[in-house]
Amino acid sequence: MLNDEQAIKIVGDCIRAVSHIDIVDTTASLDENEISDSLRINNLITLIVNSNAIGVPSVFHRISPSVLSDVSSDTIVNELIDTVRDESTEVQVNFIEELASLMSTHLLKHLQINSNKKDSKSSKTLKASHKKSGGKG
Amino acid sequence: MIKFCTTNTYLLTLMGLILFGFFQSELINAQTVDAHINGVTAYQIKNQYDKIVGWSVYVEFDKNFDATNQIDLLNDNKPSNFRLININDTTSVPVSEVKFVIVPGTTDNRIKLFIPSPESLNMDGLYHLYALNIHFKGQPSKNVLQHAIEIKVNNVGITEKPEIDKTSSPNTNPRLNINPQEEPKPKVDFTPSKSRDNSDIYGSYELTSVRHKPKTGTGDVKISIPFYTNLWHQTNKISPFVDFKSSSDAQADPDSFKFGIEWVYPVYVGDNPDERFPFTEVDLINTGKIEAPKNFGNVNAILESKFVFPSSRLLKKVKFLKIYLDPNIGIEIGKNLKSPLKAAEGNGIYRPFFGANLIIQAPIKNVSLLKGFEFESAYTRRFPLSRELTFKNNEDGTKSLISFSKGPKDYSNSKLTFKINDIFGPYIGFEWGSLPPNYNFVDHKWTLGLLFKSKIKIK
Repeated sequence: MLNDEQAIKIVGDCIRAVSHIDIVDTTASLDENEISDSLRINNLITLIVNSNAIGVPSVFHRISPSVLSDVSSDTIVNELIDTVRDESTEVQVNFIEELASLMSTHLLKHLQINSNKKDSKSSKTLKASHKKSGGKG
Repeated sequence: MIKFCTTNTYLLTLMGLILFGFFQSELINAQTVDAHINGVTAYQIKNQYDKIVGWSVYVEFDKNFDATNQIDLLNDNKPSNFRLININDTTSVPVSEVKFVIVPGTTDNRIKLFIPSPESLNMDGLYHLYALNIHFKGQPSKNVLQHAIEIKVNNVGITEKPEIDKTSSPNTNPRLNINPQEEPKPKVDFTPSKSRDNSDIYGSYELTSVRHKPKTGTGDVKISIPFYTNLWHQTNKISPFVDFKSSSDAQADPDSFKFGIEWVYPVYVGDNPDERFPFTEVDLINTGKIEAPKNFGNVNAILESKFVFPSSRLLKKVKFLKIYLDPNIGIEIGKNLKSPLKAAEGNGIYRPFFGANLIIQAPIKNVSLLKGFEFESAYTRRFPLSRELTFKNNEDGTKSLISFSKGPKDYSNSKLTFKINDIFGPYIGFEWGSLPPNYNFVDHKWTLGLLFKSKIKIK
């Protein structure tokens, strides 16, 4: 995970590299910061995800492009900063540690999805049993 | 007489004082800022031996500070203006230092608090932050600001969130407003998009009026579902799409149905934040599509590859206009798969082209009925390398073969949209030139229509 300063710097620099503005207003939308269409948003995401100079890899972290698929021209820059801060994971120097880190992240996601499915199943079963019992109890 | 004068003086003074007080309070109210805290996150601070020595708490506001303003500096960096309460035992957590989070090139809207004791916060606790007397660019906040604190562990993928009492916290952070008891359901939102090409959902209906001809209506619907993936160290956008145009005019070109895949590959994206030259990006857009009329009588398979050079905002000195110019160059390669005339079947298509997209936006603020104007114009010049064949329907019901010259074919399409909101508005359109496959020449056609364009957000 990144800290706030790192996430602000990454997102701020990437926005400035695409839109060429002097100061990024972090309380405004991407559109107000002159990133106005999907082509420019795609270029911004490319820099955040892949740039070794100013993106997430520049601080030895990685981020999946899929977590940024919701980004649009009306996204507030602060929301994007929070997403980059929360979704970035550290790249391990050791290959084995890196593999273990990747596997644990995938396992965690898998467990979260499974627990969500279980929760929804159990709530459906509860609802069904509630209906069968005629809403009593 | 003297008594009357004195009473009058007293009354006038009293009225003056009341009026002064009223205007003073109005003045103070007018100068306050309606600010909120978007989120508060706490992280452990570790020393070189990996021992926890304290906590840093980041507070994100929805308004900007001025870090050089003395009033902001004096009030917002004062530890006593921040009250951090442990909800479990109602004790106060001491804050030792406060400072602005300053990152060059961005506005300042975050504050960092230092908590010197590692035991002050713990993962199982529930904490709330109150910020009093906070100033934004010299103006005080209208209300006492408050928000729940989210405690984060620096380990990869593990975070803990406190339960939020929704009744006491007017926070706007959507992630903190999730009800854990709620069954997960997909949520679909519509967000604005700039043009037809970068809309996920696009719909328009227009009426065309030409002299000595009956009025005709044309509908245009496009649906595209994009996803992102990393390929060759770049983030690619891949979007399967369906595109349908239909017209009440039997001879109209737009009577077509297309489906395929669009793949956007950023070839080069400049990574210098201080660059001023407007063209620092090159994108390769590949589109593989099958195009056919509604009855699938004449089917073409087309592969279109084009390099697009998106610009940053041009003519920045013109404050009320946002101008973008995206030149492009590419080629269309294809083959006819099915035709009602045997001579045209299997015919090859090779068309290099170049063109540009011009977008001019004029946003209007503080008007509820109109959000602004948007002018979008696209120009393309095609150079067919082979004589393309198609057919036309004769009046007696038979079909005859048409061959086109290899001369360049121009096409220009412009639209002035009155934006009632970000996704909907009436427009005036202008069209000139000829489009494949039939190259019917459209001579200065004006249209009036209604437009809906949006990007989809599925959560």
